[in-house]
Amino acid sequence: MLQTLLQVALTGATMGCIYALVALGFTLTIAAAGVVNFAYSEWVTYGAYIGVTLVAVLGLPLWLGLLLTVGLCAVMGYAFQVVVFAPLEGKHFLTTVSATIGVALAMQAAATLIWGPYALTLPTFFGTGSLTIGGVALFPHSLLIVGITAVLIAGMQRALTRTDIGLRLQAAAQDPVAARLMGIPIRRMRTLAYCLSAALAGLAGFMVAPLFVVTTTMGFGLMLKGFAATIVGGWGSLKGAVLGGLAVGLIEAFGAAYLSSEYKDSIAFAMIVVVLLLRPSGLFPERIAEKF
Amino acid sequence: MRMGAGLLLVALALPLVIGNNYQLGIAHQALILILLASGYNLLLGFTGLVSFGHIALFAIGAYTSAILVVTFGLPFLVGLVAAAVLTGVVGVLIAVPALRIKGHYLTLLTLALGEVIRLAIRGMESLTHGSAGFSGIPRPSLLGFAFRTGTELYYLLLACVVLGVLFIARLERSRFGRAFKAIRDGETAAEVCGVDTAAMKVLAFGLSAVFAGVAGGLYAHTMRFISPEFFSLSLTITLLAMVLIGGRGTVLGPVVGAVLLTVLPEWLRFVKDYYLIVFGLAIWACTMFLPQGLIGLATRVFARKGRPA
Amino acid sequence: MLTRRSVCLAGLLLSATPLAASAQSTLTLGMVIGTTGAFAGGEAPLVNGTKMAVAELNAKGGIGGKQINLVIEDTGSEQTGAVNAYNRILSQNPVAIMNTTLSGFVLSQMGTIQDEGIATFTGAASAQLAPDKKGVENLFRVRTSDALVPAQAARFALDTLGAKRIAILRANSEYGNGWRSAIEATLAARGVKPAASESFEGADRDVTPQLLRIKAADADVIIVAGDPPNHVVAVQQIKQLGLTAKVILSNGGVLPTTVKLYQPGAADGFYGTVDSVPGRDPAQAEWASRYRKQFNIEPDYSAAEYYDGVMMVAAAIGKAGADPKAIVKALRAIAAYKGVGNVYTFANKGDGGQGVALVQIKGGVIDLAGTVQ
Repeated sequence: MLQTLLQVALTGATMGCIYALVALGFTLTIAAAGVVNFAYSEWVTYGAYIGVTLVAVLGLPLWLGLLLTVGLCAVMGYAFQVVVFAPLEGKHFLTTVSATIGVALAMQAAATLIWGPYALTLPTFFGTGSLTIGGVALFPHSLLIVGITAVLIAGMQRALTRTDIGLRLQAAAQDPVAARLMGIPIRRMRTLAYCLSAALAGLAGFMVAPLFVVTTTMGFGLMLKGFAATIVGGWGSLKGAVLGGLAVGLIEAFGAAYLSSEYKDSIAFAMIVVVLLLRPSGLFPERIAEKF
Repeated sequence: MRMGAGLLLVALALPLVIGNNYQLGIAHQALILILLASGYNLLLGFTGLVSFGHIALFAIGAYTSAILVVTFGLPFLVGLVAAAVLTGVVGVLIAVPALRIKGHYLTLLTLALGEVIRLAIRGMESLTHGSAGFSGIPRPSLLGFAFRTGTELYYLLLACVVLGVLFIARLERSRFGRAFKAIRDGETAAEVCGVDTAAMKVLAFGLSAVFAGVAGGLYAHTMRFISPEFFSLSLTITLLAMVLIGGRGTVLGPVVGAVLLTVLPEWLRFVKDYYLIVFGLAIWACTMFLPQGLIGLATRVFARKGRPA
Repeated sequence: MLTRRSVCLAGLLLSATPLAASAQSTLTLGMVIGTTGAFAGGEAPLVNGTKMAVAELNAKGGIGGKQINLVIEDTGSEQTGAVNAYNRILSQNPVAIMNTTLSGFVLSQMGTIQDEGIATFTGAASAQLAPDKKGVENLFRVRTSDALVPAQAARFALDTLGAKRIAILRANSEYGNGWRSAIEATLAARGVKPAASESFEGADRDVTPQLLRIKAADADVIIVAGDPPNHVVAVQQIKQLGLTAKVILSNGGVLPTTVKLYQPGAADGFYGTVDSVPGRDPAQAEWASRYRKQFNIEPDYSAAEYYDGVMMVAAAIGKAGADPKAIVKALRAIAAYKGVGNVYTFANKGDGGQGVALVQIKGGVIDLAGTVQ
């Protein structure tokens, strides 16, 4: 009984960390620039595909592949800032939404043309064996995901609150006008946010590739979960995104294990509805003024 | 309006020009989506409520009509009206909890509710045949006359669309329309001015749901086969794009958007496998250069020439 | 009062009119398939098989001296796209149409398929499409029906693997639920019930809770039914959680493209169902090596079945001429035609292919473990 609980908790935590990573990246652009980036799903997908190209096609070792993927994705984020987001600055958020929808569509189609229609995959870090401790199977790759997520979040928390650049990023997010008056380069902060967001997407895509299967549609479902996590946690709140992601992952796993795997999705969505009805601003809302 | 009348003339004459089933089929899909998008625009463009669960209402309409006509042998009109009514009721039921919830939270709430509804439809296997899909839905028939051919069906759908668009046009000019827009532009201000925002929001949800229900019923009888998988989230994204590109908050915006997004992928077939890329880039370009949507462009073009839109 | 834009819109629609069908010196073979979208990967081998057959026939001078012109229309992996693509191909006056394998799409096209009466081949295996259910006279199925395959899997488990406690892990889709019903029916005929019956959503990438319940039920054979990505996840987690039961994967799990996705050694010893194994059949060695050379991937039965379909059309035209109705009649007379991928019978409301084979994965390759007719 306890074994099952722990096993399910572990799975839920792994998926939760994946959702948290995705939600974090998704929320970064919301928090920093007020932009809902519907092309985020493609950022994750491209992260996975780029990883596959580096590792499976070019034969690079996994660690190098991971670092290069994250780097290339950050570059992609920069490109997006220049080409897509800068021209859209100041426009209504629905305009950005439809623009990114168009870009996402084009990217998804391009992925099929570049990498072909067949599904691809990456090898896991640390091979396929698993450790069993006390009857609970621990998959090294899953532990790595949890570990990386924890380190990353702790690191980001520190960076945002203790470093100079982090504080400036926060200022730019919370009140662009005041920040500008203080001499903070808003455009540059936003660019930083986009690069970070894309880097996180790439990381998520690469880490998830061995567990999921790399297809042109893999990012969409993840982005949706990330979107849900973002809102459940509190719109625009980075802490909320992470905790929301973990919550979604755990609810899914426990719902499937103890209630019903057939209605697992319905249960998860029903819980979201309940949370929103009880706490209309999410679980950990941040006090960012919203203009309706 | 001149634009609307012009479009109507073209629409009436269309089957005389295009004859084959392929193009008529696309026209059918475009007309149904015009209806769906118009209802969605009521919610999004007029009242400013971004709902991601609208496709579930579309599904309810489709299944209601299909079940009543096929399983219970009721006439098409009864099925369609029942679809409209039932979907409208569900729309109102969704609106009630949604009253407290604003902005992006509303979007997620509607997404979650929409998925719950879709999964419920799939779960009710005895009625809906679940994931096997519902087949054998006949073409519409009124008073014994069956709309079997493409052209006949086209005119039936066109009639529904005209009625729907005229309704929205009248609604826009009425105090309800003004109330909706007031809510969109500033809810607190609207309240202060004496608008019953709660009632108006419920009305907006209900009316847009009715449109979705009718569109769904027509869809079921046009495609003759429906399955829960087809009412997916990506269809929601397409619907959103239609309204945004056509021009949200206008009467003809969804018409143009729906037609364009239905016809354009087919028209782009000549670029073979690149058509989706071109399509996506076209959407992006459209939003970049035409923030008011295509209708906004037309309005500006005609205003420049000194002719009223 | 015609406004500028409405004229443009009309122009847009008009220009979508395809060019009239070309000269009479070629025969048009239509193909309605997903070249883009979510199902493109699964349908790509079908395109390969068709292209291979067309090229082969054209090299030999075509059919009755006329070259075959293959026209492919993309469904975009969408319902409306599939219906539109089928309508679009009809305007090219094809002699026959190689259609998509997605049952839902075929069902959507069914009205038009029946009305137009052009010979339409499909790999859609749903039990709903059988000739005595929703199938129509001019719809020819080349894949073994989903009513037969899972029954054979269950029988293999009971008889060859000696299973006493069979568990079902299936996708909550028409395909997965069809497998469950067929397996339960087969077991019921032997007076047995499944030890566990679990389901997951097609988009799920974690089946740990389901597998834990299967483990608790002490299953000795697990039958997995779903799409290729579902199999990848299931295989990985079965190994991870230390389940020792024998595993039978549905067709999607033993396609060459899926086997490549398993982590090395993860799926060794797992069984799977296929219609046939043209890649390992000595009688098809020549065909298989040509396929490998041309497309650079391992051949599978779905590609072979579409190849067979084109060959059957060619034979029918040779016998009865290029009139679409005559072609349908000639095809309906086929009985026990031994193709590369299957053995087909369309006569007497036959449902096409009936072959089922069990394979086992060894070292990343599939090998025959038993054939049932």
